[in-house]
Amino acid sequence: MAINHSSGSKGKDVKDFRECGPGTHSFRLSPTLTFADRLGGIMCRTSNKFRMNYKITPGLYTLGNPGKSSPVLVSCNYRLSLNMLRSVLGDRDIWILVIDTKGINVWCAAGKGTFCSSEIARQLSACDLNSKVTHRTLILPQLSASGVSASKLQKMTGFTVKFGPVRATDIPTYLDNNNTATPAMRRVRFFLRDRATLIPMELIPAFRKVGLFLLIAAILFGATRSGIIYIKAIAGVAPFAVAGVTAVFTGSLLAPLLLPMIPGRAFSLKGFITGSIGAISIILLLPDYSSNPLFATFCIVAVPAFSSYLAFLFTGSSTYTSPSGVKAELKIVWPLYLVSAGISMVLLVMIVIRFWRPS
Amino acid sequence: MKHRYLSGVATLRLTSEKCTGCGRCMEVCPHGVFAMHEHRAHITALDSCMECGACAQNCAFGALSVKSGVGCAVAMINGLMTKGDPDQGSCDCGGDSGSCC
Repeated sequence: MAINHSSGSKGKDVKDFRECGPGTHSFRLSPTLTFADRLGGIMCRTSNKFRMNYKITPGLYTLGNPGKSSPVLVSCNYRLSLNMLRSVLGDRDIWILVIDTKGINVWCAAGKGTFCSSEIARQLSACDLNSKVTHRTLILPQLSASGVSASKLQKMTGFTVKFGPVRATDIPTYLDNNNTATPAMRRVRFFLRDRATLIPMELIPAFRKVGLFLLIAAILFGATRSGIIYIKAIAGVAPFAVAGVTAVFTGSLLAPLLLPMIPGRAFSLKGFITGSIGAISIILLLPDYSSNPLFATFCIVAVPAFSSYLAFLFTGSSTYTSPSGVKAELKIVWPLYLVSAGISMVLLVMIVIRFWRPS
Repeated sequence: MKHRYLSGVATLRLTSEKCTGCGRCMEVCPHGVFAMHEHRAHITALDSCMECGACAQNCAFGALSVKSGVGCAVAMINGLMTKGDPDQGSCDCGGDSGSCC
Protein backbone atom coordinates (compact mmCIF):
# COMPACT_ATOMS: atom_id res chain seq x y z
CA MET A 1 0.00 0.00 0.00
CA ALA A 2 1.60 3.19 -1.14
CA ILE A 3 0.55 5.43 1.69
CA ASN A 4 3.04 7.25 3.84
CA HIS A 5 2.94 9.48 6.84
CA SER A 6 3.10 12.99 5.48
CA SER A 7 5.79 14.18 7.84
CA GLY A 8 7.34 10.89 8.82
CA SER A 9 9.72 8.54 7.07
CA LYS A 10 8.63 6.80 3.91
CA GLY A 11 7.36 3.25 3.80
CA LYS A 12 5.23 3.28 6.91
CA ASP A 13 2.72 0.53 6.73
CA VAL A 14 -0.98 1.18 6.78
CA LYS A 15 -1.17 -0.67 10.11
CA ASP A 16 0.67 2.21 11.74
CA PHE A 17 -2.25 4.49 11.08
CA ARG A 18 -4.15 5.95 13.98
CA GLU A 19 -7.12 8.26 14.08
CA CYS A 20 -5.96 11.78 13.69
CA GLY A 21 -6.89 14.05 16.55
CA PRO A 22 -6.44 17.81 16.85
CA GLY A 23 -2.95 18.80 15.84
CA THR A 24 -2.03 15.37 14.56
CA HIS A 25 -0.80 14.70 11.08
CA SER A 26 -2.63 13.72 7.97
CA PHE A 27 -1.64 10.74 5.89
CA ARG A 28 -0.11 10.92 2.48
CA LEU A 29 -1.67 8.99 -0.39
CA SER A 30 0.12 7.98 -3.55
CA PRO A 31 -1.69 8.51 -6.87
CA THR A 32 -0.19 5.26 -8.18
CA LEU A 33 -1.91 1.95 -7.66
CA THR A 34 0.36 -0.94 -6.74
CA PHE A 35 -0.03 -4.56 -7.82
CA ALA A 36 -1.59 -5.28 -4.41
CA ASP A 37 -4.15 -2.50 -4.98
CA ARG A 38 -5.12 -3.95 -8.36
CA LEU A 39 -5.34 -7.44 -6.90
CA GLY A 40 -7.53 -6.03 -4.11
CA GLY A 41 -9.81 -4.56 -6.77
CA ILE A 42 -10.27 -7.98 -8.35
CA MET A 43 -10.78 -9.64 -4.96
CA CYS A 44 -13.53 -7.12 -4.11
CA ARG A 45 -15.44 -8.27 -7.19
CA THR A 46 -15.12 -11.95 -6.37
CA SER A 47 -15.17 -12.36 -2.60
CA ASN A 48 -17.80 -10.87 -0.36
CA LYS A 49 -15.74 -11.54 2.75
CA PHE A 50 -12.72 -9.75 1.31
CA ARG A 51 -14.84 -6.85 0.09
CA MET A 52 -16.45 -6.29 3.49
CA ASN A 53 -13.05 -5.96 5.14
CA TYR A 54 -11.32 -3.85 2.50
CA LYS A 55 -11.21 -0.76 4.68
CA ILE A 56 -8.98 2.17 5.40
CA THR A 57 -8.65 4.02 8.69
CA PRO A 58 -10.86 7.15 8.68
CA GLY A 59 -9.04 10.47 8.92
CA LEU A 60 -7.52 13.23 6.86
CA TYR A 61 -5.45 12.16 3.86
CA THR A 62 -3.40 14.15 1.40
CA LEU A 63 -2.58 13.79 -2.27
CA GLY A 64 0.40 15.80 -3.48
CA ASN A 65 1.15 18.76 -1.22
CA PRO A 66 -2.14 20.46 -0.40
CA GLY A 67 -2.07 23.92 1.12
CA LYS A 68 -4.51 26.26 2.82
CA SER A 69 -6.52 26.81 -0.37
CA SER A 70 -6.50 23.27 -1.78
CA PRO A 71 -9.85 21.56 -2.33
CA VAL A 72 -11.27 19.18 0.27
CA LEU A 73 -12.99 16.03 -0.94
CA VAL A 74 -15.02 13.85 1.39
CA SER A 75 -15.12 10.10 0.86
CA CYS A 76 -15.99 6.76 2.46
CA ASN A 77 -13.50 4.35 3.99
CA TYR A 78 -14.02 1.55 1.47
CA ARG A 79 -10.51 1.10 0.20
CA LEU A 80 -11.61 0.32 -3.36
CA SER A 81 -13.33 3.73 -3.55
CA LEU A 82 -10.30 5.50 -2.17
CA ASN A 83 -7.98 3.65 -4.57
CA MET A 84 -10.15 4.78 -7.46
CA LEU A 85 -10.20 8.33 -6.14
CA ARG A 86 -6.45 8.69 -5.69
CA SER A 87 -5.65 7.05 -9.03
CA VAL A 88 -7.82 9.43 -11.06
CA LEU A 89 -6.66 12.61 -9.32
CA GLY A 90 -3.10 12.23 -10.57
CA ASP A 91 -0.59 14.69 -9.19
CA ARG A 92 -3.05 17.25 -7.90
CA ASP A 93 -2.79 18.76 -4.41
CA ILE A 94 -5.90 17.67 -2.56
CA TRP A 95 -7.18 17.00 0.93
CA ILE A 96 -9.35 13.90 1.31
CA LEU A 97 -11.45 13.59 4.43
CA VAL A 98 -12.19 9.89 4.84
CA ILE A 99 -15.18 9.26 7.09
CA ASP A 100 -16.11 6.01 8.81
CA THR A 101 -18.70 4.16 6.72
CA LYS A 102 -17.70 0.74 8.08
CA GLY A 103 -15.90 0.00 4.83
CA ILE A 104 -19.05 0.42 2.73
CA ASN A 105 -19.09 2.35 -0.55
CA VAL A 106 -20.54 5.87 -0.76
CA TRP A 107 -23.94 5.10 -2.25
CA CYS A 108 -24.78 2.12 -0.03
CA ALA A 109 -23.44 3.93 3.04
CA ALA A 110 -25.64 6.94 2.25
CA GLY A 111 -28.63 4.62 1.89
CA LYS A 112 -27.80 2.90 5.16
CA GLY A 113 -27.29 6.23 6.94
CA THR A 114 -23.59 5.81 7.78
CA PHE A 115 -22.46 8.39 5.22
CA CYS A 116 -24.21 11.23 7.04
CA SER A 117 -23.84 14.82 8.18
CA SER A 118 -22.98 13.99 11.79
CA GLU A 119 -20.16 11.60 10.83
CA ILE A 120 -18.67 14.18 8.46
CA ALA A 121 -18.90 16.86 11.16
CA ARG A 122 -17.29 14.53 13.72
CA GLN A 123 -14.39 13.59 11.43
CA LEU A 124 -13.95 17.19 10.35
CA SER A 125 -13.42 18.42 13.89
CA ALA A 126 -11.36 15.35 14.91
CA CYS A 127 -8.94 16.14 12.09
CA ASP A 128 -8.99 19.86 12.83
CA LEU A 129 -9.71 20.72 9.21
CA ASN A 130 -10.53 24.30 10.24
CA SER A 131 -6.86 24.98 10.89
CA LYS A 132 -5.62 23.21 7.75
CA VAL A 133 -7.58 25.20 5.15
CA THR A 134 -8.65 28.82 4.96
CA HIS A 135 -11.53 28.27 2.53
CA ARG A 136 -14.80 26.78 3.76
CA THR A 137 -15.96 24.41 1.01
CA LEU A 138 -16.45 20.67 1.15
CA ILE A 139 -16.89 18.61 -2.01
CA LEU A 140 -19.01 15.53 -1.43
CA PRO A 141 -19.66 12.69 -3.88
CA GLN A 142 -23.04 13.25 -5.55
CA LEU A 143 -24.21 9.78 -4.58
CA SER A 144 -23.82 10.64 -0.89
CA ALA A 145 -26.75 13.06 -1.24
CA SER A 146 -29.31 10.44 -0.22
CA GLY A 147 -27.62 10.34 3.21
CA VAL A 148 -26.43 13.92 3.62
CA SER A 149 -28.51 17.04 3.85
CA ALA A 150 -26.23 19.76 2.52
CA SER A 151 -28.01 22.56 4.38
CA LYS A 152 -27.86 20.65 7.67
CA LEU A 153 -24.16 19.89 7.27
CA GLN A 154 -23.54 23.52 6.41
CA LYS A 155 -25.21 24.62 9.65
CA MET A 156 -23.28 22.06 11.66
CA THR A 157 -19.81 22.84 10.29
CA GLY A 158 -19.88 26.27 8.69
CA PHE A 159 -18.58 24.69 5.49
CA THR A 160 -20.40 25.23 2.21
CA VAL A 161 -21.34 21.86 0.73
CA LYS A 162 -20.93 21.11 -2.96
CA PHE A 163 -21.85 17.85 -4.58
CA GLY A 164 -19.23 16.65 -7.03
CA PRO A 165 -19.90 14.36 -9.98
CA VAL A 166 -21.22 10.78 -9.73
CA ARG A 167 -18.06 9.20 -11.09
CA ALA A 168 -14.59 9.77 -9.66
CA THR A 169 -13.14 9.92 -13.17
CA ASP A 170 -15.04 13.19 -13.75
CA ILE A 171 -13.58 14.91 -10.66
CA PRO A 172 -10.56 16.43 -12.45
CA THR A 173 -12.85 18.07 -15.04
CA TYR A 174 -15.22 19.13 -12.26
CA LEU A 175 -12.38 20.83 -10.37
CA ASP A 176 -10.99 22.44 -13.50
CA ASN A 177 -14.40 23.91 -14.30
CA ASN A 178 -14.65 25.81 -11.04
CA ASN A 179 -16.56 23.04 -9.24
CA THR A 180 -19.31 22.64 -11.79
CA ALA A 181 -20.60 19.36 -13.20
CA THR A 182 -22.24 18.94 -16.57
CA PRO A 183 -25.67 17.22 -16.60
CA ALA A 184 -23.98 14.09 -18.01
CA MET A 185 -21.65 13.97 -14.99
CA ARG A 186 -24.68 14.01 -12.72
CA ARG A 187 -26.23 10.90 -14.24
CA VAL A 188 -25.67 7.36 -13.04
CA ARG A 189 -24.88 5.01 -15.89
CA PHE A 190 -25.03 1.26 -16.03
CA PHE A 191 -22.93 0.26 -19.00
CA LEU A 192 -22.14 -3.26 -20.15
CA ARG A 193 -18.74 -3.12 -18.47
CA ASP A 194 -20.29 -1.95 -15.18
CA ARG A 195 -22.67 -4.88 -15.27
CA ALA A 196 -19.96 -7.34 -16.30
CA THR A 197 -17.90 -6.35 -13.23
CA LEU A 198 -20.80 -7.42 -11.02
CA ILE A 199 -21.35 -10.83 -12.63
CA PRO A 200 -18.96 -12.92 -10.48
CA MET A 201 -20.76 -11.86 -7.31
CA GLU A 202 -24.04 -12.94 -8.92
CA LEU A 203 -22.72 -16.29 -10.13
CA ILE A 204 -21.06 -17.43 -6.90
CA PRO A 205 -24.15 -17.38 -4.62
CA ALA A 206 -26.31 -18.70 -7.48
CA PHE A 207 -24.05 -21.73 -7.96
CA ARG A 208 -24.08 -22.27 -4.20
CA LYS A 209 -27.89 -22.57 -4.30
CA VAL A 210 -27.73 -25.00 -7.24
CA GLY A 211 -25.07 -27.03 -5.40
CA LEU A 212 -27.32 -27.40 -2.39
CA PHE A 213 -30.21 -28.54 -4.58
CA LEU A 214 -27.99 -31.07 -6.40
CA LEU A 215 -26.75 -32.43 -3.09
CA ILE A 216 -30.32 -33.14 -1.99
CA ALA A 217 -31.07 -34.68 -5.41
CA ALA A 218 -27.91 -36.83 -5.23
CA ILE A 219 -28.94 -38.21 -1.86
CA LEU A 220 -32.42 -39.02 -3.22
CA PHE A 221 -30.99 -40.75 -6.27
CA GLY A 222 -28.06 -42.54 -4.67
CA ALA A 223 -29.00 -43.36 -1.10
CA THR A 224 -29.64 -46.98 -0.15
CA ARG A 225 -29.70 -48.73 3.21
CA SER A 226 -26.10 -49.77 2.73
CA GLY A 227 -24.82 -46.34 1.75
CA ILE A 228 -24.77 -44.04 -1.29
CA ILE A 229 -24.32 -45.64 -4.70
CA TYR A 230 -22.31 -42.95 -6.44
CA ILE A 231 -22.84 -44.21 -9.98
CA LYS A 232 -26.59 -44.02 -9.47
CA ALA A 233 -26.35 -40.64 -7.79
CA ILE A 234 -24.32 -39.17 -10.64
CA ALA A 235 -26.50 -40.68 -13.37
CA GLY A 236 -29.67 -39.42 -11.70
CA VAL A 237 -28.37 -35.94 -10.90
CA ALA A 238 -26.67 -35.19 -14.25
CA PRO A 239 -29.81 -33.82 -16.01
CA PHE A 240 -30.59 -31.66 -12.97
CA ALA A 241 -27.04 -30.31 -12.96
CA VAL A 242 -27.52 -29.28 -16.60
CA ALA A 243 -30.83 -27.60 -15.74
CA GLY A 244 -29.29 -25.80 -12.73
CA VAL A 245 -26.25 -24.53 -14.63
CA THR A 246 -28.49 -23.37 -17.48
CA ALA A 247 -30.71 -21.38 -15.12
CA VAL A 248 -27.68 -19.73 -13.49
CA PHE A 249 -26.27 -18.93 -16.90
CA THR A 250 -29.50 -17.34 -18.14
CA GLY A 251 -30.49 -15.62 -14.86
CA SER A 252 -27.18 -14.44 -13.38
CA LEU A 253 -25.12 -13.95 -16.52
CA LEU A 254 -27.24 -13.41 -19.64
CA ALA A 255 -29.98 -11.32 -18.04
CA PRO A 256 -27.59 -8.86 -16.27
CA LEU A 257 -25.29 -8.60 -19.28
CA LEU A 258 -27.99 -8.09 -21.91
CA LEU A 259 -30.26 -6.19 -19.48
CA PRO A 260 -31.51 -3.30 -21.66
CA MET A 261 -31.76 -5.52 -24.75
CA ILE A 262 -34.12 -8.07 -23.19
CA PRO A 263 -37.82 -7.24 -23.63
CA GLY A 264 -39.82 -6.16 -20.60
CA ARG A 265 -39.00 -3.78 -17.76
CA ALA A 266 -39.37 -6.05 -14.74
CA PHE A 267 -36.12 -7.89 -13.94
CA SER A 268 -38.11 -11.03 -13.10
CA LEU A 269 -39.65 -10.95 -16.59
CA LYS A 270 -36.26 -10.50 -18.24
CA GLY A 271 -34.91 -13.51 -16.33
CA PHE A 272 -38.01 -15.51 -17.19
CA ILE A 273 -37.49 -14.82 -20.89
CA THR A 274 -33.81 -15.83 -20.89
CA GLY A 275 -34.65 -18.83 -18.72
CA SER A 276 -37.37 -19.98 -21.12
CA ILE A 277 -34.86 -19.88 -23.96
CA GLY A 278 -32.54 -21.95 -21.75
CA ALA A 279 -35.25 -24.51 -20.99
CA ILE A 280 -36.19 -24.87 -24.66
CA SER A 281 -32.48 -25.26 -25.55
CA ILE A 282 -32.10 -28.16 -23.09
CA ILE A 283 -35.15 -29.91 -24.51
CA LEU A 284 -34.01 -29.48 -28.11
CA LEU A 285 -30.30 -30.12 -27.65
CA LEU A 286 -30.39 -32.96 -25.13
CA PRO A 287 -33.01 -35.44 -26.37
CA ASP A 288 -31.54 -38.17 -24.13
CA TYR A 289 -32.62 -36.18 -21.08
CA SER A 290 -35.78 -34.58 -22.43
CA SER A 291 -37.18 -37.88 -23.71
CA ASN A 292 -38.23 -38.34 -20.09
CA PRO A 293 -41.46 -36.31 -20.07
CA LEU A 294 -41.18 -35.74 -16.33
CA PHE A 295 -37.75 -34.16 -16.73
CA ALA A 296 -38.90 -32.13 -19.72
CA THR A 297 -41.73 -30.78 -17.55
CA PHE A 298 -39.25 -30.08 -14.75
CA CYS A 299 -37.15 -28.04 -17.20
CA ILE A 300 -40.11 -26.00 -18.37
CA VAL A 301 -41.26 -25.26 -14.80
CA ALA A 302 -38.01 -24.88 -12.89
CA VAL A 303 -35.48 -23.30 -15.27
CA PRO A 304 -37.44 -20.15 -16.27
CA ALA A 305 -38.64 -19.64 -12.67
CA PHE A 306 -35.19 -19.99 -11.10
CA SER A 307 -33.65 -17.85 -13.84
CA SER A 308 -36.32 -15.23 -13.18
CA TYR A 309 -35.56 -15.31 -9.45
CA LEU A 310 -31.82 -14.88 -10.06
CA ALA A 311 -32.36 -11.97 -12.44
CA PHE A 312 -34.74 -10.38 -9.92
CA LEU A 313 -31.95 -10.44 -7.31
CA PHE A 314 -29.88 -8.30 -9.68
CA THR A 315 -32.17 -5.34 -8.87
CA GLY A 316 -30.00 -4.88 -5.77
CA SER A 317 -26.90 -4.44 -7.92
CA SER A 318 -28.53 -2.24 -10.52
CA THR A 319 -28.41 1.53 -10.42
CA TYR A 320 -31.94 2.40 -11.40
CA THR A 321 -34.54 0.19 -9.67
CA SER A 322 -36.88 1.85 -7.17
CA PRO A 323 -38.07 0.13 -3.99
CA SER A 324 -41.69 0.69 -5.09
CA GLY A 325 -40.96 -1.10 -8.34
CA VAL A 326 -39.14 -4.00 -6.69
CA LYS A 327 -42.00 -4.37 -4.23
CA ALA A 328 -44.52 -4.40 -7.08
CA GLU A 329 -42.52 -7.14 -8.79
CA LEU A 330 -42.17 -9.11 -5.59
CA LYS A 331 -45.93 -9.12 -4.96
CA ILE A 332 -46.57 -10.77 -8.31
CA VAL A 333 -43.62 -13.13 -8.61
CA TRP A 334 -43.21 -14.42 -5.05
CA PRO A 335 -46.32 -16.66 -5.11
CA LEU A 336 -45.32 -17.87 -8.59
CA TYR A 337 -41.82 -18.76 -7.33
CA LEU A 338 -43.27 -20.72 -4.42
CA VAL A 339 -45.66 -22.64 -6.70
CA SER A 340 -42.87 -23.38 -9.21
CA ALA A 341 -40.57 -24.57 -6.42
CA GLY A 342 -43.32 -26.83 -5.09
CA ILE A 343 -44.09 -28.36 -8.49
CA SER A 344 -40.37 -28.79 -9.19
CA MET A 345 -39.84 -30.70 -5.96
CA VAL A 346 -42.83 -32.98 -6.69
CA LEU A 347 -41.44 -33.66 -10.18
CA LEU A 348 -38.01 -34.44 -8.71
CA VAL A 349 -39.55 -36.96 -6.32
CA MET A 350 -41.56 -38.53 -9.15
CA ILE A 351 -38.43 -38.85 -11.27
CA VAL A 352 -36.57 -40.42 -8.33
CA ILE A 353 -39.37 -42.95 -7.78
CA ARG A 354 -39.33 -43.93 -11.46
CA PHE A 355 -35.55 -44.10 -11.36
CA TRP A 356 -35.66 -46.64 -8.54
CA ARG A 357 -38.55 -48.74 -9.86
CA PRO A 358 -37.16 -52.06 -11.10
CA SER A 359 -37.53 -52.23 -14.84
CA MET B 1 -29.44 1.48 -24.80
CA LYS B 2 -31.46 3.23 -22.16
CA HIS B 3 -32.53 1.39 -19.03
CA ARG B 4 -36.21 1.63 -18.19
CA TYR B 5 -37.83 0.27 -15.06
CA LEU B 6 -41.51 -0.09 -14.14
CA SER B 7 -43.66 2.92 -14.87
CA GLY B 8 -46.24 4.53 -12.61
CA VAL B 9 -44.82 3.26 -9.33
CA ALA B 10 -42.54 6.06 -8.08
CA THR B 11 -43.74 7.83 -4.93
CA LEU B 12 -41.92 11.11 -5.62
CA ARG B 13 -44.09 14.21 -5.11
CA LEU B 14 -43.31 17.87 -5.62
CA THR B 15 -45.20 20.68 -3.95
CA SER B 16 -44.59 23.41 -6.46
CA GLU B 17 -45.67 26.27 -4.16
CA LYS B 18 -42.83 25.52 -1.76
CA CYS B 19 -40.17 25.38 -4.49
CA THR B 20 -37.78 28.33 -4.58
CA GLY B 21 -35.96 27.22 -7.72
CA CYS B 22 -32.62 26.73 -5.97
CA GLY B 23 -31.77 23.79 -8.22
CA ARG B 24 -30.39 21.54 -5.51
CA CYS B 25 -32.67 18.67 -6.60
CA MET B 26 -31.26 18.81 -10.11
CA GLU B 27 -27.76 18.75 -8.65
CA VAL B 28 -28.30 15.59 -6.60
CA CYS B 29 -30.67 13.55 -8.79
CA PRO B 30 -28.74 10.72 -10.46
CA HIS B 31 -31.40 10.10 -13.11
CA GLY B 32 -32.29 13.54 -14.46
CA VAL B 33 -35.83 13.44 -13.09
CA PHE B 34 -36.11 17.24 -12.71
CA ALA B 35 -35.98 20.20 -15.01
CA MET B 36 -36.08 23.91 -14.20
CA HIS B 37 -38.86 25.92 -15.78
CA GLU B 38 -39.69 29.52 -14.90
CA HIS B 39 -37.55 29.41 -11.75
CA ARG B 40 -39.27 26.35 -10.39
CA ALA B 41 -38.36 22.69 -10.44
CA HIS B 42 -40.60 20.32 -12.35
CA ILE B 43 -40.72 16.56 -12.41
CA THR B 44 -40.20 15.71 -16.06
CA ALA B 45 -39.19 12.04 -15.87
CA LEU B 46 -41.07 10.50 -12.97
CA ASP B 47 -40.64 6.95 -14.23
CA SER B 48 -36.85 7.34 -14.10
CA CYS B 49 -37.03 8.01 -10.35
CA MET B 50 -35.36 5.26 -8.30
CA GLU B 51 -36.56 6.74 -4.99
CA CYS B 52 -33.05 7.16 -3.59
CA GLY B 53 -34.29 10.11 -1.54
CA ALA B 54 -31.41 12.46 -2.37
CA CYS B 55 -33.69 15.26 -3.58
CA ALA B 56 -36.08 15.18 -0.62
CA GLN B 57 -33.15 14.92 1.81
CA ASN B 58 -31.60 18.01 0.25
CA CYS B 59 -34.64 20.19 -0.38
CA ALA B 60 -34.27 22.82 2.34
CA PHE B 61 -37.83 24.02 1.71
CA GLY B 62 -39.67 20.73 2.11
CA ALA B 63 -41.05 20.84 -1.41
CA LEU B 64 -40.19 17.24 -2.17
CA SER B 65 -41.36 14.01 -0.64
CA VAL B 66 -40.57 10.44 -1.56
CA LYS B 67 -40.90 7.08 0.15
CA SER B 68 -37.23 6.36 -0.22
CA GLY B 69 -35.25 3.19 0.17
CA VAL B 70 -33.11 0.77 -1.71
CA GLY B 71 -34.63 -1.09 -4.65
CA CYS B 72 -33.03 -4.38 -3.73
CA ALA B 73 -34.88 -7.69 -4.06
CA VAL B 74 -32.54 -9.41 -1.58
CA ALA B 75 -33.48 -6.94 1.15
CA MET B 76 -37.19 -7.29 0.45
CA ILE B 77 -37.14 -11.09 0.27
CA ASN B 78 -35.23 -11.12 3.57
CA GLY B 79 -37.87 -8.90 5.10
CA LEU B 80 -40.70 -11.02 3.70
CA MET B 81 -39.17 -14.29 4.93
CA THR B 82 -38.04 -13.18 8.38
CA LYS B 83 -40.62 -10.55 9.34
CA GLY B 84 -43.42 -11.08 6.84
CA ASP B 85 -42.98 -7.54 5.54
CA PRO B 86 -40.81 -6.61 2.56
CA ASP B 87 -40.19 -3.14 4.04
CA GLN B 88 -38.58 -4.56 7.18
CA GLY B 89 -35.67 -6.28 5.49
CA SER B 90 -32.11 -5.15 5.09
CA CYS B 91 -29.74 -6.10 2.35
CA ASP B 92 -27.08 -8.59 3.22
CA CYS B 93 -24.14 -6.49 2.24
CA GLY B 94 -21.79 -8.24 4.59
CA GLY B 95 -23.78 -11.42 4.83
CA ASP B 96 -23.60 -14.45 2.58
CA SER B 97 -25.52 -12.95 -0.26
CA GLY B 98 -23.65 -11.62 -3.23
CA SER B 99 -25.95 -8.83 -4.20
CA CYS B 100 -25.34 -5.43 -2.76
CA CYS B 101 -27.49 -2.37 -2.72
